[in-house]
Amino acid sequence: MEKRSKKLAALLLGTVMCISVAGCGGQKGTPDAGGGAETPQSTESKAPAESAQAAETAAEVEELYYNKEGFPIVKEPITIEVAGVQGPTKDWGNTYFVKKVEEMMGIKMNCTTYADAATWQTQYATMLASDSLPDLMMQLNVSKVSTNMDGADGYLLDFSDYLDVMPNLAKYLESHPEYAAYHTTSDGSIYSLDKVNEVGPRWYSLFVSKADEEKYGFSVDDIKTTEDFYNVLKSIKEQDPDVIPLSLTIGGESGQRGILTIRNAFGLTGVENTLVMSVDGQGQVNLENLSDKYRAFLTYMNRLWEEELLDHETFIQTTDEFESKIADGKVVFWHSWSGINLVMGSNYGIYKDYDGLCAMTSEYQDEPIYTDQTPYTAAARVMVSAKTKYPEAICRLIDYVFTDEGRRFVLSGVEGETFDYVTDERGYQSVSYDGYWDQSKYASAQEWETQEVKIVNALDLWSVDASREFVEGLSDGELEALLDEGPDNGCMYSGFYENMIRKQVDKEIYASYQPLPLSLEEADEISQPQTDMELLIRQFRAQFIAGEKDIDTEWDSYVRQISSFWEQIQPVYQAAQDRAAASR
Amino acid sequence: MKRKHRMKIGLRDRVFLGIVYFVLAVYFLLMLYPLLYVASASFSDPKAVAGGEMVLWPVRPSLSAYRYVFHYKEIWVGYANTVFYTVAGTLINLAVTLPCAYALSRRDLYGRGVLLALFMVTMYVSGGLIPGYLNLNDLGMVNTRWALLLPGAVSVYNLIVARTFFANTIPWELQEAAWLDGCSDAKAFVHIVLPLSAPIVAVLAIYYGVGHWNAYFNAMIYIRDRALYPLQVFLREILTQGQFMAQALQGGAAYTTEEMAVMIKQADTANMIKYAVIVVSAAPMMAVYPFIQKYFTKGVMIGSVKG
Repeated sequence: MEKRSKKLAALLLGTVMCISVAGCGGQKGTPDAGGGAETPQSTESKAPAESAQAAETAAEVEELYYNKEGFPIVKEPITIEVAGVQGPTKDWGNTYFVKKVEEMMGIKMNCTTYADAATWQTQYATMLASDSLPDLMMQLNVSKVSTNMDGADGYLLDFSDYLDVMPNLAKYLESHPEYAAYHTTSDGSIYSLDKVNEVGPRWYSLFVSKADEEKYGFSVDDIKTTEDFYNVLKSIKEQDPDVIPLSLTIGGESGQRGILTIRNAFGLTGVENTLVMSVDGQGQVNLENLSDKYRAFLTYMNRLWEEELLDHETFIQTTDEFESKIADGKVVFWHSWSGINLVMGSNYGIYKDYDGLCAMTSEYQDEPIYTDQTPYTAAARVMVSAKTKYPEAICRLIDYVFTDEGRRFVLSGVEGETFDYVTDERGYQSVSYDGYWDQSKYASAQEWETQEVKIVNALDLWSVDASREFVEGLSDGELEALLDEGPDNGCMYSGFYENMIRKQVDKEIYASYQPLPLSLEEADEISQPQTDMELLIRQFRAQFIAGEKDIDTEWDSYVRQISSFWEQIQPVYQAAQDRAAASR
Repeated sequence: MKRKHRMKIGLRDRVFLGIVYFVLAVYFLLMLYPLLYVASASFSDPKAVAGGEMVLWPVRPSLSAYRYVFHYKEIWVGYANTVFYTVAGTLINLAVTLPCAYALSRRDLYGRGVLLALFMVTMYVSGGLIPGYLNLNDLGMVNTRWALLLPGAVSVYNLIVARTFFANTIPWELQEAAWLDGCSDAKAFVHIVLPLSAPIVAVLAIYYGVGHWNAYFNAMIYIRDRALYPLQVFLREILTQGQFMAQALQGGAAYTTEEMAVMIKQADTANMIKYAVIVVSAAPMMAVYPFIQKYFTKGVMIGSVKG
């Protein structure tokens, strides 16, 4: 009896399970997918490409919800859902930018932010799965490959279909083929946009205080070669055995830009942290991590390590520990991407107390060079959902950023409403928030700007560092006067670098290898071997520098192991390089 | 005059006891040190903490972190939400778990073995993050408080503990007597079984309550409205903010010097308050724990099979 009941129960439960699985089909194309709530509901959801084509005829222009030129962008106000990683701006909805976009363009932005990239990735996955991507996604730093994959699957808007309403972006793509090549997939689609630093801030050097130069009896102006640098570090150590002559942070994948000064001195001009890739005169993509130059670089670093001229906590210290050492004066030469700000606070006047070392030569590098940062980061910053009801309006908003007026708008607001242009006695035109910022709530105008004026790193897709442009036009005397006297108007950082580069560098270059988009199949193919190869390179680098492995006896084994991966990876990068070269 | 008779402990036993006490002392210090470290760090200069100067006692003590925390409005919003989710969530948990456990403990419930087996399958196998999200999305619970109260209303582990308690502790004869007097199942549960089940109710309340207090993952996935976030999500934001800023500054070339200055200040603030926020969020549980400790230790064995 009991057995029979069990069988009956099992049969019943099995039937229930089958019915529930069959009922899992669900409904596709729900009206709420990715759209705002305040517009007339359409009974069908059209694919964006179809809606763009449908609106082409002149007779249908009058029925468009948007204006092809001028502001407001839309004829009736619309609401779009916006999301992204929070970043420094805590409350996006409270910014002048969001409010002004609504007022000026007729687009209300409902903003949702997420604390960090990991949270965003999880939310993005759930939004993809539930077909509820927000209309506009920004302040992202996600992989180009994954966005291209999502775009090809139909989740993301293809900007190339909307270039007719994005004339400024179209013009920019035409005049900057490298930017176009970087963003365009092999089938001609553009699924995301990244920030371009057309003129970016200088981004690396080794710093030393002038007080230390005097104390230890040297001058950075006399350091021309890697041997000179070694001798100075040795002299420092002999005079003060307790001080750390050189400290860096080479843990993991970040914080390694300080090493670029030394790496460049050996002719290794790639800018990535681990892989040092180059393109030779014949267009061949090479991995410099296998070269004699790289071996010489590692040997030099090992020499510094063995003689305790390089901080033995280089591979393990955290940023906080590193900063703390520098602030306490325990280190003589150190690096920081953001300059002295990182450890000394935002006091521009302090640059006059410091010197920098950014270029040297060696037997592998005859002339002192400085590698400018690549104009594009290897990431996607802005994306639009393919299911949005307002692709044209959003594309026009994004296109505005590629005008001078639009660029200033996303950075500082509108002149006379949030800032005034101020030209100092030297002719540097800067933006002043005096008279606009809330001094009762914020300690500085910059803080007010990042909290209430703009959304940092969101739609500022086109960057031109005005302070760098300005200082490059100054004479040597004007530059020295700027560093000695100020003003403290944001030029000091650029002035510091300009002064250093004029004294030490013969030539500024871009790295010969620039990141290029890969197809999905290519990215899949090299994903695992590249991950393994990078891990191995980092491991060997640490072991060679720290002396755990002898570079002379183990170099061949290292080359063999890395080569086995590179042989799989090189053809993929070569194909991407050849495509980019063909499109120029 | 009475003399206390002390049992003589042999040398080997004394050595053994010494080793036991030594090991216990070591474990005690290992457990105590992180608590002391966090408490001391919350009163110390954040740069000293980050630089490794602070080892045990506060260095350059100040109350600036606590002052900032008490003015940080979102923390108090999170606190209120956490208290709500803990109280309401625990009540829902108990209201669902106890009747279910009682039903499964009844030997006259046909198919209870199959039902229990089905429950247990869910302990090892789940639909995963995306199906779970889709499910709640279809139910309209995403971005509502229900998303933190209803999913996980029954913990199968707790259900089994309660079921075992009911089966082994509540006399069957007592229930039979009640039925013979005309009591329904529901009345018997409410008027007879529950009053005798204070220990298991207390244990489940503690387990569920602590779980709700510390929970953040579901809030991170299902809630987008910051007014609904529990405290742990804000704490996580503060903890990750410092790291995010440091990584962004070191890894990216995309910020102006003014933005970097603001980010540095935000990272410093995050570093300054993170230990204070940890103390503030853990303090209620730590204050309550001494009073409920015996229920925790009881809870380990309360659902076990007896005799």
